[in-house]
Parts: sequence; structure tokens; C-alpha cells
Amino acid sequence: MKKRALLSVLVLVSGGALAPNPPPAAAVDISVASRTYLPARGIDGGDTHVLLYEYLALDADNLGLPGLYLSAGGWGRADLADETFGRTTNGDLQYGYVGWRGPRMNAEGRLGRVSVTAGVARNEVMDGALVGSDLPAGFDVTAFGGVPVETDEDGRSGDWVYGGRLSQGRAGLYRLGASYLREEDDSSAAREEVGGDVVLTPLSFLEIGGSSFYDLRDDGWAQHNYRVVLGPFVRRVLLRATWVSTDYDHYFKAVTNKAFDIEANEKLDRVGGELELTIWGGLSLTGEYVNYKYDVAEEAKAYGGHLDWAGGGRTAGLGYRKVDGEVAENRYQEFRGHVSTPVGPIAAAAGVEHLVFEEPVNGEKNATTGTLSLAYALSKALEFSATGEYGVTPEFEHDARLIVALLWRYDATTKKGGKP
Amino acid sequence: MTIRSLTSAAAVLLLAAAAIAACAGPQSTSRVHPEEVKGAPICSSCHDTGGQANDHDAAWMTSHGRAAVNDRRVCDLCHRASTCADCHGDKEEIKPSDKRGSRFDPAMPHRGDYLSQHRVDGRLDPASCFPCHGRKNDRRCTTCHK
Repeated sequence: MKKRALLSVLVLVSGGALAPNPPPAAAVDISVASRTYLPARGIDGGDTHVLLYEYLALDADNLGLPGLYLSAGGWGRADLADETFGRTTNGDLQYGYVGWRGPRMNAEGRLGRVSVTAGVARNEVMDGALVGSDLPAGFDVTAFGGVPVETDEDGRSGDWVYGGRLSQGRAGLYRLGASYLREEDDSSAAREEVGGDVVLTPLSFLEIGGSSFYDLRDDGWAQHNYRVVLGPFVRRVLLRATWVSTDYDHYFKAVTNKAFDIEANEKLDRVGGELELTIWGGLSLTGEYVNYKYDVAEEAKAYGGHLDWAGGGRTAGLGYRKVDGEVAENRYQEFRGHVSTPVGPIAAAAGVEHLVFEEPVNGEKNATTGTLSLAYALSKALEFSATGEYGVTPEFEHDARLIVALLWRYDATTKKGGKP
Repeated sequence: MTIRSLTSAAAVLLLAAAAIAACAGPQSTSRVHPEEVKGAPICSSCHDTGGQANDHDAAWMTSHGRAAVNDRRVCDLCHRASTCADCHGDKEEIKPSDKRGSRFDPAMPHRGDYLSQHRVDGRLDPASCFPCHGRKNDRRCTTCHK
């Protein structure tokens, strides 16, 4: 109910900005973005769904004080014919906070429903506060705390999340970060993590970046995730290498999605590389290879490549990838092709994807999906698009989708004040 | 002294230092990119970032998390929070590729028949699914994963 009320407020506040002309000079800069989606889907033996999604985002700057701003966004959905995911209506206030950016040292505070990404905090959505600032000598600090937005079904009483990140660096050369996060569910620790992150750019053609985080609750490294980028050399050759090491017992913590209730005592080292070669103009060829090495399961690998072209507002591409597990059920091939081009005032894009599974899924080895998307911008602020997708897959003999979208944006920016 | 109490004490000291510094340090950078940025920006073509950490290149879909962890404020220069919430929101019902029908990047999740494909990808590397699906009220998942 609270969320519904907040969404109503969001809609009303946004609605106030829907005047045909910007209001006369107030010192507030307002921007509203609306996205309306009408998805329809027809599948063999499926229920009828008539869906309407409305996504709204509101941003208001200079709210009486320089640097004071408001940001809010969320969505609502109604199914006019049946239930979708067990409900006729649904909605979510994804974020909604009052923020302040200080005139010096990038001092910043946010209060409300905030999404936090800082070190071990990855898209932690909470009702609380976030504060941060630069410090002397290249240091930077962020701290946050609040009640996590409920993703389980047991209520929010006794739920807390808090933590922070301290980093030090020099622009264009390096940044090192250390971070901490603790989440409590019903007053007991659901997860407690400490981590480090790094970005090193010692040479113009070398970048090393990544992070590690440690599970304090059960004592063990949860994940190391690093990437090295080399190049571009002679403006044509770029090499990317990644290493991601995940310990399942320490990584899958505070899970609310049963799909991740994994008790495998497993560890995965994923090592991969990509070589991107610019052949000529907008034509590029990328080759990739990934090796999956497990403590328990059999080894697997994936490799492939894609040829892409872009020029004059048009794009085209072809791709192939083979996932090659040790067992047949973990093997498939993927073929992709796409093209996009303006057709008069309409932006058109089409793509096709074909999968070949080594072991049949629901008795079928092949899945083919084709997509056609048409978009027309009526003005800079208003765009209409329609995307149709048709598939013959192991899940459905006929899977037809159509999603119609109306994207609308309203900006009332005064000449006074400006951005901080 | 536990790590928790040490961390709390350090946080209080740092925020106090930040409050003092915020009164006397250099001017804050703009909260919004001063120029309109169109398409997928190659930040290093204008900014001396020392590398390509924020370049929206072919690998951006799989590497952007590292950039966000390092400094989310750089993301905020151009993106609203809704950009992140589109994929990482707690209760999303529309898959990203449906919202971006004209985008055919190889890494765009989850174009085509991902329902069949996810069984293999999920077995091979469930950790790559976790950031978007692990701590969510994801009705798509609970339809089968009860």
C-alpha cells in the first residue's frame, strides 16, 4: 500500500509538469520522462494478456537551494485481461530521493529510496541515506545506511543494510578502494562483506581493473573479478582479458530467489579473452574465448566471434558462438545476425537468432527467433516504436510478441541557476 | 575490537574529515555532463582518463559494473537511476531486450529464446545471473524455481 501511495504521489507530481508549455521562470529545473509499454504475446496454449506498463522518471534541480535536487522513478502495470505473474496489477517505486551536491569537494547526500553502488555494494536498494565527499590527497569516502527494500517475503522489521567505501587515487593513473557492507535480516546477519577494488592505467595502452570481496560471515573469498585491456595498438587492435573466480558457498548469500539456493561446494574460475580488430572504417572483427574451470563439475569452454559494421547511421552484424561443455546438455551453438537502417523518417532494425542445442530441450534441438523493430521520432521529445518478435522454440511451437512503446520527455529548464 | 566497530569508528572520523574538507576544498564538478552526449560515448576521446575504463565500447555491457563500483558519480553525469533500475530493479517484469527492441548488441540480455538458453548458461556460471536476479522478487524465476 505504501508503495502504491508513493507511486500515486510520483504520478501526481509528474502530472503537474505536463503543461503544454514550460512554467514561467521558476528557479527549478524539471525533467520528466515517461515510457509507456504495451506488450502483447501469443503462445500455444497460453492465457490472454493485455498489459499496460507505465514507467515514470522525475528529476528536479535547484529546489530552493543551489545543489538541492529530487530524483524519483518507478513503474506501474495493469493486466486488463488476466493475471500476469499471479497479479492483475503490480508496481514499484524504484528510487525516490532528495539529494544535495555541495559546492566544494563533491560533497553529496541523498535521502530516501536510494540505490547504492560502491565497492562491495552493488545496486543495493534501500530506504535510507547516502553521504559522500572527496577528501584531501586524492581520497574519497562514501557511507550509507538504511532499510533494504524488501526482496523476500518476511517483512522489513529488523532489516538493515549499511556500509561504505574509502578510496584513494590520482586522476588518469590509479584508484584503489576498500569497502564494507553488512546486511541484517530479522536482526541477524544475512551477509557481511569487505572488499577491495582497483583501477590502474599506468600506460595509455594498458588498463587493469577489478575487485575482490571477502565473506566475513563465513570466512572466505567470495569473488575475484579482474580485467586487463591492452591497446588499441595502431588504432586497430584491442585485447581484453578477464578472470573471474567465484566461490559459490561465499558468493550466493542473502539469496531471495530460489534459483540461487546452490549448495554445490563449488568454485568456478572463468578465464577469457577477446581480440577486437578494426579491419577498415566501421568494420570490426571480434574473437572471443572463455574457459570455465570448476572444482567439482567438468570443465567447459565457449568461443566464437562476431563481425560488425557501422557507418552512415546504419549497422550490420553477424555472430557465432559455441558453448562447449563436457556433457552434452551443456553444449549449444548460437548464430546471430542483425541490420539497422533509417527508412525515411523511420529507424528500422531487424535481427535473427538461431540456437542449436546438442541435447534436445523438451524434445527440440533448435530455437529460432526473428525480431523487427520500427521507431519514429515525432519530435525530440516524443518517440513511438513497435517491436515484433516471432519464435519457434523448444518451449513454444509459436511464440509471437509485440511490444509497442511511447517514449515521451518533458524538460523545463530555466536560464537561471543552472547546474551546480 | 571487532572489524565492525573499527569500521564504524573509521566511518565517523572520515565523514567528519569530509565535512571539514567540504567547506574549504576545490569546487565540485558538475553533477550533469555539460554537453549532450549522443550514442555510445567513448569518454577517453575527450577526457584524459588514462585508459578506456568508461568507454562504452563493444564490451561495455559486460564491463560497466566495474566502472560503476569504482565511481558511480561518473555514471550519474549522463544517466538517471532509471538506467540502472531497468535491468537491476527489484521487481522488473520486462526483460531489457524488450525495452530496447532496436538494440542487437551480442551482449544485450536476453534477446531471443533465452528461456531455453538460460538452463545451460545458468549451469555454467550462475554468478553471472546473480547481480540482476539473485536478490529480487523475480516472478519470472519463481514461476519454475519455487
